[in-house]
Amino acid sequence: MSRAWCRIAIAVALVPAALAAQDATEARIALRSGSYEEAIDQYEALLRSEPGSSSMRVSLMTALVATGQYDDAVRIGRDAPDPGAVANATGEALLRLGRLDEALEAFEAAIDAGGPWRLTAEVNLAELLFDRGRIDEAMDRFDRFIDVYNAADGQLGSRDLVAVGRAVRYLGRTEPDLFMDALRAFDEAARTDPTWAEPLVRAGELFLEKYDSPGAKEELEKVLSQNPRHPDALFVMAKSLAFDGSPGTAPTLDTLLAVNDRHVEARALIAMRHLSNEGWEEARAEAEAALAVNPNSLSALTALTGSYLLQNDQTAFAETRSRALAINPAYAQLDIELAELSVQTRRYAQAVERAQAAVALDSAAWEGWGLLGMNQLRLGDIEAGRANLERAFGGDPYNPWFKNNLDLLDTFERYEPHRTAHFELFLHGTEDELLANYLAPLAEEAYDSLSRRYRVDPTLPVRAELFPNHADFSVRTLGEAGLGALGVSFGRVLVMDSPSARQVGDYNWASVFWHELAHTFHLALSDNRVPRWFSEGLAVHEQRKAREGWGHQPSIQFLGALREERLKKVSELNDGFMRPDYPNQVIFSYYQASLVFQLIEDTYGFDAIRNMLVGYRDGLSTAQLFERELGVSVEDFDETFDSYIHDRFATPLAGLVPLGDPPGPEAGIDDVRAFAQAHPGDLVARLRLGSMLFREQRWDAAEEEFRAALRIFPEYGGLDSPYYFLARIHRERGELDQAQAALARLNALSESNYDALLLQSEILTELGRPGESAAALDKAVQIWPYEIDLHTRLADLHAELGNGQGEVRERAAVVALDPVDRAEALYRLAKAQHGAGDFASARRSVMGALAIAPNYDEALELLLLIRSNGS
Amino acid sequence: MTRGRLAYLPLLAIGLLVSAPTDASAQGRTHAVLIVGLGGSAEFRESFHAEAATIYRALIDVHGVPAENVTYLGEKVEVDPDMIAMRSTRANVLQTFGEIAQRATPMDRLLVVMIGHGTASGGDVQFNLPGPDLTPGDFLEGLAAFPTQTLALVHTGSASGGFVAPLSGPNRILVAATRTERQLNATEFGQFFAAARAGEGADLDKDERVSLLEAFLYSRREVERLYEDENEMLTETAVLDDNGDGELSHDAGLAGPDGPLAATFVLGGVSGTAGQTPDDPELARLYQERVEIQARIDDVRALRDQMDETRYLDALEPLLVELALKNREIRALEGGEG
Repeated sequence: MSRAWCRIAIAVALVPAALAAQDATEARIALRSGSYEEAIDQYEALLRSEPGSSSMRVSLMTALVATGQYDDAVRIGRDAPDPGAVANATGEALLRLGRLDEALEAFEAAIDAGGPWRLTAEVNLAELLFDRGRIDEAMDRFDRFIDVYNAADGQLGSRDLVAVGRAVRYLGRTEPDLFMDALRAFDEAARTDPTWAEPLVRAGELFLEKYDSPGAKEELEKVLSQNPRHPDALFVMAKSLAFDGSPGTAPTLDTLLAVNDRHVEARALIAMRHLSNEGWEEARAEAEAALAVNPNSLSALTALTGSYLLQNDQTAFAETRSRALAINPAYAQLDIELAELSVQTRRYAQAVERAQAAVALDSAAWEGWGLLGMNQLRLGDIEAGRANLERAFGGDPYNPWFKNNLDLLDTFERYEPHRTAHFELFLHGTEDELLANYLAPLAEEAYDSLSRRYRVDPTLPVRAELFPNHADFSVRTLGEAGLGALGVSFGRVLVMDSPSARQVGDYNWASVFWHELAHTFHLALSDNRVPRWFSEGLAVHEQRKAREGWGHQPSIQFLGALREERLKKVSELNDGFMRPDYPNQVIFSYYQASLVFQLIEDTYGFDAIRNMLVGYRDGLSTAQLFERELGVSVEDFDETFDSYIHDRFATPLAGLVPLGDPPGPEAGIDDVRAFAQAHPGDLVARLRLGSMLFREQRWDAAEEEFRAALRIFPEYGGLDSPYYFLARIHRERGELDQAQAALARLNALSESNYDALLLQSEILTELGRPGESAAALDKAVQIWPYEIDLHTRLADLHAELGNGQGEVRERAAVVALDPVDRAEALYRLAKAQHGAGDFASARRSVMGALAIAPNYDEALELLLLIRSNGS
Repeated sequence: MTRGRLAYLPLLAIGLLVSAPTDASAQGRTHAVLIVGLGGSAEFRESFHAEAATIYRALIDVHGVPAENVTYLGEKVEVDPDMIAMRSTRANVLQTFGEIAQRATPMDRLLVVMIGHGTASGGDVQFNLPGPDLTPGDFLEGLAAFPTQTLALVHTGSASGGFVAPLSGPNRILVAATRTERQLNATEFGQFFAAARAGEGADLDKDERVSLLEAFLYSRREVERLYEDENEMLTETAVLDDNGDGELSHDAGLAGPDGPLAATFVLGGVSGTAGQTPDDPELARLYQERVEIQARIDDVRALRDQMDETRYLDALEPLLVELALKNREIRALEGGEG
């Protein structure tokens, strides 16, 4: 052969090799960028020419697994000329199918075969043993990785570093400090091979496991920016978003399923989300779909078990749970997740049961101990709750909920318990004397009223905790600060903000207490099975029945949402609370749901409502209960309610129809007047014009506008209600009766307008109507009880009315507020107590005054008087 | 409820020291100087003058301090020439101190009330006056002329704690609206101190007199209440020092370390029947008997910490009854109701 031919022959021989190398690079790029289908095609082609290449075979299997083609991945692995060399990848594919014994054999084969995936196979095997409940054996295997790392002296490659990190992460279960070493290993792996996503995904998973969702998302975003279709990164990102309660969770899961619709963990997560929204059937469907791929999926079995538990199907629950425990007898995670689900669906006693079951399976299930402790606290078992939280925190010091709750419990020594017939009122020592004065009688009144209505007795005593620090209330409820609510009922325990946790006028604490106590009765009667929308709406309805003006009221924003059809249908009202389309929808749903019960009670009577609560207890659905108790389908009721609410608000709705472009925010009175005159039925225009005229003290013209607004929307009791402006106008003109009437109307539509109540009281006093004046101040105390002047005025009014008990209560409130002149306050209290015939208390009070000021002449005289009465 | 309620403990023994009648002449005369500094705005000028005028009238009308012993130095004399003696310049302040020092007897007392803005920069603290500002050093210089007299300085303005602290010494009562010179916001303390001096609710032990300690406690509490009611962060922390250690106490009281001397600083002599010595021998006897009862009450109160509440009140009550009956006897003899 000539030299030229040789050169050609050599060139021809070299071209395929070069091409092959280029194809392998392209295939690798395709794989790492998420072009899995392209990667599969390229690796298949490459393997046809190089069937013995283990690395390419593993890459092909990786792409197949990423897209859910698990069986094909197994086949590819088993068809390898040297199956042992790819056995680890085969095992990973088998795991996805739930073929656990085969996977275990594959990992053992991979370990025996040695090679670059040996350590990965070691950790896979150890994890599999752990997931089969062979915990001690697994932990021994994990422990060996520390020696591997130390012996390698920094020479481990990325793949092996990830294996080390995975192993050390498990060791953190008993040595929490090792989580930091695990993270270090992942970071080192990422530095060693910056193009490989696995270390970042593992790090993200670890951050999320330790409650750091921002840290998790940061790592995952690095992966997804390079490969937006990375299934494991998408899955952990979805979990991070779910952890944050972000609406991005569902779209992320959709993206993942578009890449791999056989992703079992994703379907299990979707199933769990359905369960927390009380979508039992949807949850079951997702769980079954996951189990069709992997019949041994513990997460899918957990979701399936949960669906039976929450629907009270004890037989199916026990059977399905047994299926899971047959796979892993120490699988505490199942009961842990069911405990969390129980909390989400307000079944706190059930949460305690599940948490107890979890820790019985695995005493190192720290999350289980923590859930046990937190839910014992919710049920009022404070000591046991504290003990279990301390145990949990000892095992997992990264958990902020455990710490927050323990810190909160440390503050409990500053609270004072006050017992009544049915309650234990748990009030902060700085305000317990003051609040108990008012809360105790209100609580008993509420209990009496609700127990007669619902004909059920909750577990007693009901423990009511009022927190002067909103963050503490939030921690008590959620385990963390940031809760927007004012109060929460766990059944036997209800917790709420003390009025001192908020600013004056923020809310009416008495009304909120009644609302939360109503929940206690709903939960008791339905055995905690009442849906959220039902109990919230009914509780607001109870507020309105208790006192005129209490509870949510219609607002202009609510009417706007009604007009724009942005309210939920009754059949979907639970979503208004659980998955609102926009933030305000939650508040609107409260009011809307209360109108549902207004309609039901007016049409069918209260017993229909009570029977529905009992029906929930018995496992019936909302649809079934509407049929049974109301004789209509939920869909038909949707239409009925829609007509009802549109009829009820027909006039103000008409006043909100936009008939033109209103003047901008900087417009003057003339422009606004012109618009209002052109559109006399425009509610907002009349209110706006009225306010502008009021600011210029043009009383007559302002009055005309406000009266016009009230003709359109007579139920409007907001802070800028025309009633308040009219009261001020009448007051300016000296028309006290009309001023008082306007304020009375306003206060019948609003539970928390403190200034309006004070003004009403003032005017009523001027009108010589002390009884009504006192009643207005009594209501004001239910908003803000901390003003000494208010209590002094109220005490004087009660004295004028000859209401001894009322005067005593108010004088006691003054003393409780720690006035500067405490001696005088105690003296006045003593006088009131003496006047009311309570000589023993009068003696104590006057002695208190004289202990401060022994030369207090009036107090000395009173002491003689009290003694002469034989105290 | 399980707790007893004697949370007012720091005030308990105020009566211990002031329930005994005091002889005005034994205390010496009181000389008062009100220094109102630069207002800076019409609003502050008005409020500062209102506070000063309240204190001025209270000193004379309520506490019986002779008008010639009360000197008001203000930003502008023409605001109220009947009341304001001179402009509150540094020179006039020091001159006033000098004049008082010349006529004061060893047992006299000096009360100085400063109403205005304090400032601090580079470690130096000043009180803003027309012209050169006043410094703690100026006060040291001016007060050096009062070696034996009891001095009370009340600085109601911003940065006041830093101003008064260097002035600490024996027989000196220092009250400041702010703990240190770093609290620079305009203060609310002055209005309440003026109200306390006018007798509005500050007579906490009902002995018809308001001591400097009572005025401090009243003002401090009302300031805190004002900030609580308006939901604002407390930017002024009132303090008092009267034991000469230079440490200003927020929680002053008779239990100390600060408070006991302030509790005895009662203005203008005494009022009410507690300190009078009547001419009628029968009445005089009753008065003396009352003094003895009050002393026995003080003895019991001194043992408060050693008794539980029930025993304490049981021990106190008969004495209080005795006191009440004695008061009735006195009133009957004086022609009032028995």
